[in-house]
Amino acid sequence: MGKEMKHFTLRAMGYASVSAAAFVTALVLSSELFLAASLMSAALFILSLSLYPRRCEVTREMEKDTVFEGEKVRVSLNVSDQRHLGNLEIFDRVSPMLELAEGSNLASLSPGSRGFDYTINASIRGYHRIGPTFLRRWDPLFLWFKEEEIGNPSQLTVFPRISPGRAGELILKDRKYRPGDMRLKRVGLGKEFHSIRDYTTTDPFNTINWKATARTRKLLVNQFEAESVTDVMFILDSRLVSRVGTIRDNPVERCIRFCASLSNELLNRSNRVGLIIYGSSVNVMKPAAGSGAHDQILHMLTNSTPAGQITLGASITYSLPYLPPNSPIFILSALNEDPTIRDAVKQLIGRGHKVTIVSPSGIEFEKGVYDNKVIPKYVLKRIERDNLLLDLRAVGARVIDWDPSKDVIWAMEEVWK
Amino acid sequence: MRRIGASTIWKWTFLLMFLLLISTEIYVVTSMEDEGELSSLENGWAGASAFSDELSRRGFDVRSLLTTPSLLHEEEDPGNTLLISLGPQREYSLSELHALRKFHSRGGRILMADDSGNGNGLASRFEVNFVRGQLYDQNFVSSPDLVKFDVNQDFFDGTVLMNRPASLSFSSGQALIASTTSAWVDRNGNGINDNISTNQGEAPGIRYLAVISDPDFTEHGSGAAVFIADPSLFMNGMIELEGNMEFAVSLVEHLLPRGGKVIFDDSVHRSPDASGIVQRSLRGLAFATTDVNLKIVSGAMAVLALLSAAYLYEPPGKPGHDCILNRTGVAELVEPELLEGDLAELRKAVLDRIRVSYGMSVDDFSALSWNELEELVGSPGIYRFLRKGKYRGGVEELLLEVMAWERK
Repeated sequence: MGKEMKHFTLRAMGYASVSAAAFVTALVLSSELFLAASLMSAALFILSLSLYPRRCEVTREMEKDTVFEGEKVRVSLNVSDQRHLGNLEIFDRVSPMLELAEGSNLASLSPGSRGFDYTINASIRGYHRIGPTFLRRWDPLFLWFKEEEIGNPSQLTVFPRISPGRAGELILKDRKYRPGDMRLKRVGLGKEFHSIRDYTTTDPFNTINWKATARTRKLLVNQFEAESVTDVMFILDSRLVSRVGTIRDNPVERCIRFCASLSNELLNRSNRVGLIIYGSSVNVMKPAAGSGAHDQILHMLTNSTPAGQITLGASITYSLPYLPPNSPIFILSALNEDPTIRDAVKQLIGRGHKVTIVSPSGIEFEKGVYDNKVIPKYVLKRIERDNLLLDLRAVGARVIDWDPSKDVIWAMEEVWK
Repeated sequence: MRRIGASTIWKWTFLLMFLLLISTEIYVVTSMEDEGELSSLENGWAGASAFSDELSRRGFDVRSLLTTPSLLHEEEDPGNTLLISLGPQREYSLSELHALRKFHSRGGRILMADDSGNGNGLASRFEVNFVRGQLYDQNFVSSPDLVKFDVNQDFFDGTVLMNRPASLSFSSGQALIASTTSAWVDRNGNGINDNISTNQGEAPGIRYLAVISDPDFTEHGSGAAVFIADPSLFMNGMIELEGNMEFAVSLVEHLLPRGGKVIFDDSVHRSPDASGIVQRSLRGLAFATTDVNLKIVSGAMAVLALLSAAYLYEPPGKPGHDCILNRTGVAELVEPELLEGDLAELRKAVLDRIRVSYGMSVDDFSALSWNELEELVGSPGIYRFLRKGKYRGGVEELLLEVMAWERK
């Protein structure tokens, strides 16, 4: 129970002043009418103050406490004292990172009301706080009120949105033939259909495609994609300078959504995925597989807050022991304000990693802040960025320059190409 | 600056108003000197209850005003109302005089009897003056203090007996009672007519004991004020002597020919018993709320208090959800224009672009001569900028040229 604050209102002052003025006028004019008016005002004043609502409990019920970005959550607030004669003003504090989709988190409950509902739109990932509830108790005539914070805050966990991926190929240098699913874009013993070919005597019967055979009048068999598993590392740039544009949509959020989506695809195919997030510190998750790894990645991404200015070079130097040899590495970064990028990528490629850089262009997001007007500084930064991308390609990295107008699915398709 | 709390201001305001009320009470209570002589509520020898009772018997609506004549402002029918002020024991305040004058101008009637000079505040507004000093005349009864005067008016023809009367001087109006030619006023109070030796204005002559300010008030329907130089005429101990009662009643009937309300101003008297304390308290409260000056002070304080409270009053904030998702941030484009220092960065970026376009290492590129670089660049404008740091036209043109540049 928070500290209680008491306040009067201008209306209360009005009543008191009218009562006093009427009393003085009654004395001056010897008027019973004014005396009655004075007494009436005073009586109303006192009566209203005596009908304060009692202290009450407000409980919050959330439809779900874990959702993905873009989902909606219904929140219900219930008041324990349903027979109050005064008025209750309830404001359920909601994290500023959440949007109200329907209803309002502020309600004025008339005498006897039980509660109210509202719906939240979870637009951005994070651990968002809902509550505590701010309660303002009014007397029936809204003359006097008391304020207090009550109830415990609830937490709404919003995971980054996972976009559906498309089957594709990761060109791997170091394949590991374990049960799993890193498709190699070649015929093998996988589960995913690849093509149809003519039957040979060594083919098992269960691979015959009977429909195609009937249609073409010759025996045809299905071929399946070869599958492999591998360790894939994601290196995510979560520096403060990468959060340019709007809080809702910026390079960091794009990278996080991309990472969540692609890691989900890879884990679904039994690969092992690791994650390094750098910003104010370097957080490393060693490559792991399965739903546990998926949850761990989602929580790491959800908990990530753009901050700090640790460079890519420093974070790679720190996390080199955790990088599986020759594993493909995805660097997710806006590539801005970091002079170590070129050398860091060179270092990774030199160690045998296949480096794919997915880079949402930070200056394009910043240009959006200036209503997409082309300003001189933008041109300079654009030249520098183009130079950097050319340089990175020149040292052997695959660079995907992600225009903000393209969505995550586009970026994933670019990866699979 | 630290703001003073509303409660502090309210406390001080109420404290000041309370002190104001108390000081008013003290002033009113202590300003009375004698006991309640000539009060209509006093039944003793010096009271005026017999006169009041007689008027009641005659059908007048008799009231007693305990607080202040300022309340005459609210009198609804002043043309049929008579205020009687007998021997005021205090002077009227400015606001009370204003109220009495207003009452008269609205057609009200006033009867004032005084021999102390307290009534001069009102009388002077009607160009009448109570002259200080006892009047002596030849028609006294048993003692020179008790003097009989003949009254020959339409409403009364007879004799009245006065006890140690004063006298009146006036410059407008009409005398109702006059002395004989041998009357004189003892100005120095020594009981001796010493006008011959000291020439102090005690010369014998006609003196006036009753004056009416508006003799034709019945015709014009205007107000009227009668001043009598001896209030003892109305005392219980004197009213029954000679023709005093008839004179008094006739005068009232003359002033109120259609009957009406008679108000005895007992606010100028001091009640001797416990009820006097209540009366004085009420008078103080009424005084505080009716006196013009106090009204102004009280009103100003009330307004100040309200203004202070309104200034201090902070309406309860309407809580609202503040969504920050659309807040924007920039890093590299904080300053949208190119500054002087950015030109060096631009030069480096252009050189990098040329180097990368030709797939050269930094070392190889650094080893190039200016002529070789000029060949690689191809554009004279860009080359000039790279070599001398100068460019023609604006920086925007240079940027466009750089953006459009491609290797040969």
